[in-house]
Amino acid sequence: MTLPGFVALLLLPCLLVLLGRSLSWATIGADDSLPFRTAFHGLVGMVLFHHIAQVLSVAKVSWGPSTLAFAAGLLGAGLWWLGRRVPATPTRATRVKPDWGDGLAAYAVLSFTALSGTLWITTPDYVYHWGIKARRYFLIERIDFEYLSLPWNWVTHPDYPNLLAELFAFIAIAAGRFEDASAVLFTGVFLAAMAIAARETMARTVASPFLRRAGLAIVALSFAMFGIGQQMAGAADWMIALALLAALPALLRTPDSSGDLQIAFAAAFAAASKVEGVPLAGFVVVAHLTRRLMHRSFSLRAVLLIAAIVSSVVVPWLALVRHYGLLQKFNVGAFEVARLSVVASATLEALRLACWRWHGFYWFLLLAPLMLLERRLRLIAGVVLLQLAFYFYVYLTAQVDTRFLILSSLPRLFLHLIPTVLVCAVIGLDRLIGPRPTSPEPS
Amino acid sequence: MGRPPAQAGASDNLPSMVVKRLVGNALVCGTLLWSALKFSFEEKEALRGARSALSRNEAPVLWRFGTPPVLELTRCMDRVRSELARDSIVGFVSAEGPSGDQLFRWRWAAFLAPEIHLLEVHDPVPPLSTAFLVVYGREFRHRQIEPVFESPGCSLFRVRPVS
Repeated sequence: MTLPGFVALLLLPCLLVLLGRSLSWATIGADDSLPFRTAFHGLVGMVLFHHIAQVLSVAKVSWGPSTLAFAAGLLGAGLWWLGRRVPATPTRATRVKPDWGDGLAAYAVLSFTALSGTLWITTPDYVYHWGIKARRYFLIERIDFEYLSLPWNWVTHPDYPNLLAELFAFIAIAAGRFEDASAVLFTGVFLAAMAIAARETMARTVASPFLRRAGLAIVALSFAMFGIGQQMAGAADWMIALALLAALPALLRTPDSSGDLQIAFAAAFAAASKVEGVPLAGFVVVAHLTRRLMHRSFSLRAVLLIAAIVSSVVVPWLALVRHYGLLQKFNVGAFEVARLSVVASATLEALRLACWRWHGFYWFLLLAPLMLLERRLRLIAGVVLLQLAFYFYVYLTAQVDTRFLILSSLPRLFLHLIPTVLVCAVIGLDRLIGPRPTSPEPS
Repeated sequence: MGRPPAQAGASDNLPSMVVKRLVGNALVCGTLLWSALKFSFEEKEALRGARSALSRNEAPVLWRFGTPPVLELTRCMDRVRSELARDSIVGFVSAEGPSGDQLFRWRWAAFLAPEIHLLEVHDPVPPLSTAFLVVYGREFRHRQIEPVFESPGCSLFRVRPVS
C-alpha cells in the first residue's frame, strides 16, 4: 500500500464521523458513551455519503475529491443549521475505562485488520462483486449504471445497493489510485464499530462486570475468528451485522426521539449495504415502533421521520434498479414447498461442512427462540427469527441451484445474526445469574 | 407444618443462586476459552497461508491474492489493458475445467481489467462478435482472429467481422 492509500484509508472514517456529527443534535442519546457516539456518527456519515454519491451519479457529476468534499460540506452544514436551535444533548455518560474485555476485543479487531492488509483473507465476493464495481466507479468517478445493466454483468449482482463499492471507490479517489489493500482494510472499521456497539449494549444492560467483559471478548473473538477463517475481508456482510448491533441500544432503552433516529439510520444503513439489509431494515423499524406502542408513546411524527429516512435509501435504490433493469430474474421466483426437503438436507450439509469456520458458534442461534421468553429481548428475538425466516424464504424461491446457494451463503448469512444473538445471550444470562442492574432499562 | 413462604424462599434461593452463578460463569469461561483458542487457530492458519501464498497453485475457484495463478493472470491482463482503449468489448477464453474453472478465471480477469468489457466465450465458439479476444492458458484457433500479441499462455487477438 502506498502512503496516499494509507492516508486516504485513515481520512475516510474521520470524514464520515465528521459528516455524521452534523446530525448529532438528533441522533445521540443522553447515555450514549463517547465511543458509541463516534461509531454512530460514522454510521450516519456513511448513509449521508451514500446519498451524496448516488445523487451525483444520477446527475452524472463526477466524484472528484473537491466535488465530494463540497457536497459533503454543504450537506453537513445544512443539517447542522437545521439543528442549531436544538439544545445540546445533556450527557450523562461517564468516561469509558478500558478493561481486559476491551483489550481482547481490540486485539481481535486489530488482528483481523492486519490480516486484511495482506489480502490473504479477502472474500471472493470482493473480486466478483464489490471490488470490480468499486474499480469501475473509481475509473468513471460515479456509479456506472450503464455498466451494471450490461447483460454479461449479471455476475456482479448489479441489483445490489452500492454503499460498500462507493466507500472503496472514495478511498481510491482520495488516494489518486485504486489499491485493493486500502479498500479491504476498511473492513476493520466495521468490526471496530460492531465491537463498540456490542460493548455499549452490554454496558447498559448487563450488571455483572465479569459477564460484560467476557461477553464483549466472546462476541469480538468469535466474529473476528469467523472473518479470518471464512475470508471475510472486503465483504458487505459486516455492515448488516453492524446495523443490527447498532440498533440494539435503542431497542433496549425506553423509546425516545434520539432512539427513533438511531433506529432509522441503522435501518437505512442496512438497506444501503446489501439486499438482505432491506428486510432487516423493515423488521428493525417494526420492532421499534411496536416498543413505542407497548410504552404508550406511539407517535405519528416518529413513524413519519423513520419512514422518511429509511425510504430515502430504499426508494431511490428500487427506482434505479427498475429504471436500469438491474433486477436479476433468478433472484425471485414462486414459493416452492416441494423444495423444503432439498433446503433441509442442504442446510444440514452446510452446518456439517460449510459452517465449520464458526467453530460451533452457530448453535447459539438456537437461543433465539428462547430469547422470546425474556420480555426485554422478545422483539430483538423476533427480528433475528424473521430475518432467518427471510433467508429460508429466499432459499425456497430463488431460481438457482438451491444446494449450491445454501452451501455458499449460509455461513456468511449467519454472521448477520450471531453477534447480536451472543450479546442477547449475555444479557439473558445476566438476568438469570447476575446481580440486579442498578439502572434498569424497561423493555 | 410447612415453613413460611418467605423463609422457604430465602433458604432455597441462596444455594440455588450460587449454583446458578457457578454454572453460568463456568459456561462463560468455557465459551471465552473456546473462542480464544479457535481465534488463535484461525489467526495462525491465515498467517501460515499468507506466508506460503507464493507456493500455492490452486483451482480458480480457490484463487487468492498473491498466489502464482493470480499474479500470472495479473501480468497478462496488464499487458492486455495496455493495448486496448477504454470500454473495448473483449472476449475471454480459457481452458474449461471442473468446478467452473473458466467462469472463475473470467471473473478474475474482469476484476483485473475494469476499463474494458470482458465477455466469457465458450467452446464451441460461435462467430465472434467482440472487437478483441483474450486467449488465456490454452491454444485457440479461429478463422476470424489475427494476433495483436502472442505470448505463452496469454494472447490478444483482433477479431475480424464475419464477411
